[in-house]
Amino acid sequence: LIGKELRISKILSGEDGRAVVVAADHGFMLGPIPGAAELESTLKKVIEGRPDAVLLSVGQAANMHRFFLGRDKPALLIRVDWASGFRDRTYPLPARSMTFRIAATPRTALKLGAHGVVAYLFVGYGDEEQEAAQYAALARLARECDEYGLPLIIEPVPFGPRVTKANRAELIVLSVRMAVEIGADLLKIPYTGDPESFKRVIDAAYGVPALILGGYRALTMQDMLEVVYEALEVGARGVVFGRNVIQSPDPAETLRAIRAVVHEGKTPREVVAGRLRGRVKLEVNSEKCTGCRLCEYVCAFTHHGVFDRSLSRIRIEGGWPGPFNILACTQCGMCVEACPSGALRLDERLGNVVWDRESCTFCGACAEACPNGLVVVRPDLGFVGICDLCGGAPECERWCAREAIKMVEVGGESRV
Amino acid sequence: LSTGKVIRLSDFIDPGDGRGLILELDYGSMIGFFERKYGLDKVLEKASRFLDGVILNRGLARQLKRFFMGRRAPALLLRADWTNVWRGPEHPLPAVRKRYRDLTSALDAVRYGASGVVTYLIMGQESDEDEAANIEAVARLARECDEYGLPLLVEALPIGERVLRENYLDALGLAMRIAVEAGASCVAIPYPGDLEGLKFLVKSCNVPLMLMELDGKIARWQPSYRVEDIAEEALKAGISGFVVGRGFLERPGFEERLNSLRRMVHSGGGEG
Repeated sequence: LIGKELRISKILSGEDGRAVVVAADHGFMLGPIPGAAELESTLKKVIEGRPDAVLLSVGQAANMHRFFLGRDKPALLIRVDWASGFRDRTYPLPARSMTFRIAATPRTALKLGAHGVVAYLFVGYGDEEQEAAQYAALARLARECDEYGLPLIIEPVPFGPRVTKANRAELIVLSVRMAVEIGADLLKIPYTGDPESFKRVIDAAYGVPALILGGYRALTMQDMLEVVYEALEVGARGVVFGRNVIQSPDPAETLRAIRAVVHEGKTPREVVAGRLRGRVKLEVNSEKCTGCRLCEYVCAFTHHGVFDRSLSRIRIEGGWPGPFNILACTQCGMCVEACPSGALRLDERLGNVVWDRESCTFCGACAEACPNGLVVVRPDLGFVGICDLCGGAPECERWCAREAIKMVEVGGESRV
Repeated sequence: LSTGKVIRLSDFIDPGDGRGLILELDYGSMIGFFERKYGLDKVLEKASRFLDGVILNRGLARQLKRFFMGRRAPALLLRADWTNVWRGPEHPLPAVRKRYRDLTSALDAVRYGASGVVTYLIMGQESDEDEAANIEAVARLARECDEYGLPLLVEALPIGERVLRENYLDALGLAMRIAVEAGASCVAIPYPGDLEGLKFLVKSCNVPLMLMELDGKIARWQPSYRVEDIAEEALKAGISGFVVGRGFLERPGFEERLNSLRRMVHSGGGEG
C-alpha cells in the first residue's frame, strides 16, 4: 500500500517520524466555539506555527483549501464522522444520548485533497447496539481506505456512563487495540495521565503510530508540554491538539513550543525558559501564602532529588495559622559582590545567579552577605545553592496553588 | 478545478510563482533500460532536491518510493499510458507502426499516493481511428481524475510524417487545445521553435503550460533545442516550468544544470 506509506510520510513528516497536528474540526460537533468560530483567522495563525497536519471537517476543508497549497504547507486531514456526545450541559441543546454517523466517504476526502481521514471509536457509553454499529461502520471505512491507499486515523475515546476514573486507562487500552484490529493506520489517543499506563496503551497499539490528543485546555503551557514530553518518552509519535492551540492567545507561538518538544527534543523547561526575552525575577505575595511549604519541597527536589527543605533556595517564615512570609531571591547581587573567588556571577540574559563549582572555595561569604539568608552552603554535599530560577521556568512558581509566587520581567511587567 | 486538484497541483507547481520543474523517468516501459549510464537511484539522490515532481511508471514508483517520503520530497506523478513512438530507427526494435495504450487508471494513481497522472496526447497518427482512441482514453482518464480530485498532466505531441516545419505550430496548438478541452489540469508541449509561437500557445492555453524536451525524433520535422538555452525567454513568455528527461540527464553535469534551471524557474529559489 504505497499510497498509505507516502501519505503517512506527509503527516509524520519530519526525519524523526513524528507529527504536530492541529485539530480544528470542533465546529461540526460543538458549533462556533472560541477558536473555531472565526476559523479562517485562526487557521492563518495556526499555519504560521508550521503544524505537520491540520484536521478539518469536510465543509471547512473545501472552504479553507488555500491554507494547504504548496509542499511546505501542512497535510490536510478530514473528519469523516459526526457524534453528538460531546454536547454536554455547557452547550446549547445538550445531547440526550450518544449518536454517531459517518458524514463523508474516503472518496470525498480524496476529492478534497486529503492525506488522511479521521473517525472516532467510542467505547463505554452504554448502548451496545450503537457501539456495534459504529464498529461495523469503521470496518467499512477501513476497507474503503485500503482501496484508495488513504490512511485511516482512528480516535478511540472511552466515553459515557460506564467510564470511571478507575477503568479509564484500561478502556483506552481496549479501544486502542480495537482500533488497531479494525485497520487504523494512525491513532489519536487520549493521554492516560501517567507514563506507566500510557506505555501499556503504546504496547496495545502494536506499532501503529500513536498521537496524543489534548482534550480540554491545559492550565499552563508548561503543564501542556509536560504531558507531551511524558507521552513521547514512552513511545507516542506526536500530538493532535485542538483547543490548546486554537484557543491559545497566540496559536503560532504555542505551536512553536510544541514543535520544540516534539521535533527538537527540548524539555518543557527549556522551551518555557527559551521564550523569555529579558531579565526576570521572582515576585512574591506573602498575603496569599498558606504555609503549605510545597515551594520549599519542590525546590529541594528539583535541584537535589530529595524532599529536604533544608536544601531549598526559597523559604517560608512563620507557623500555623500564619501569617507567613515568603523569602525568595531578589537577584540583588550582594552574594556576587561578596564572593572573593569570582565563583558567582549574574546571568546576562535572565539575571539569575550562576555558580561555578570549579572556582568556589566554600568560604561562605555569599551566605553571610545574603540579606534573606537564602544561600545554602554545603561543602559536605559539594554545592552552594543559590536560586537559579530553574533556568527560567521556576518550579516554585509552577507548583504554588495560590499563585503567591510569580516570575516577572524586571521592570514589573508581566511574564512573557 | 476541484479542491483536491488545486491542492495536489500545488505539490508540483509552486503556488507562490505558478511554476514547476519535473523530471521524467518513465522511459523504461517504452524504450527499455535507458538509464544504464547513470542509474535512477543515483539520479534521484542527486536531483530530488531540485525537483517539484518526478514522472514514473507503477513498477519503479514502488522501487523508488523512498524518494517521495515526507512533505519536502518531490511529488510523484504516475504515467498512465504507453507508446512506442520513442522507438526510432536507432532503437534495437524500431516501431513499425506507432501504437498507444492506456495502462493505468486514476484509481491506481490514488492508490500509489501520486499527486497527479501523466498521459500522452499524440496528434498525427497514421490512422484516424488510433487518434480517436487516444483522445477517448485521455478524456476517460480526465473524467476519472475528476472523481478523485487528481490533476491530469497531458503531454501533447505532434508526431509522424504529416508534421512539417510549416504546420508544426498549428499541430502543436491543436494537440494542446484538445488536451485542455478534454480536461487536462496542466499541459506539457515541446518548444514550437520560436518565441512568438510559444507566446501564442501560452495565450490560448488556459491551464498551466509547461515545456518539455523531446528525447527522440518523433515527427518528420521538429525543432532541435536544449531546455536550458530557451528557459529564460520561455519563462518570460509565460510558461509554467519544464518537464525534462533522458536527454537532459545524458548531457554532462546534469546536477549543476538542474540546479541552475531550478533557480531560473523559481526566480533564484534554490533547493526545494
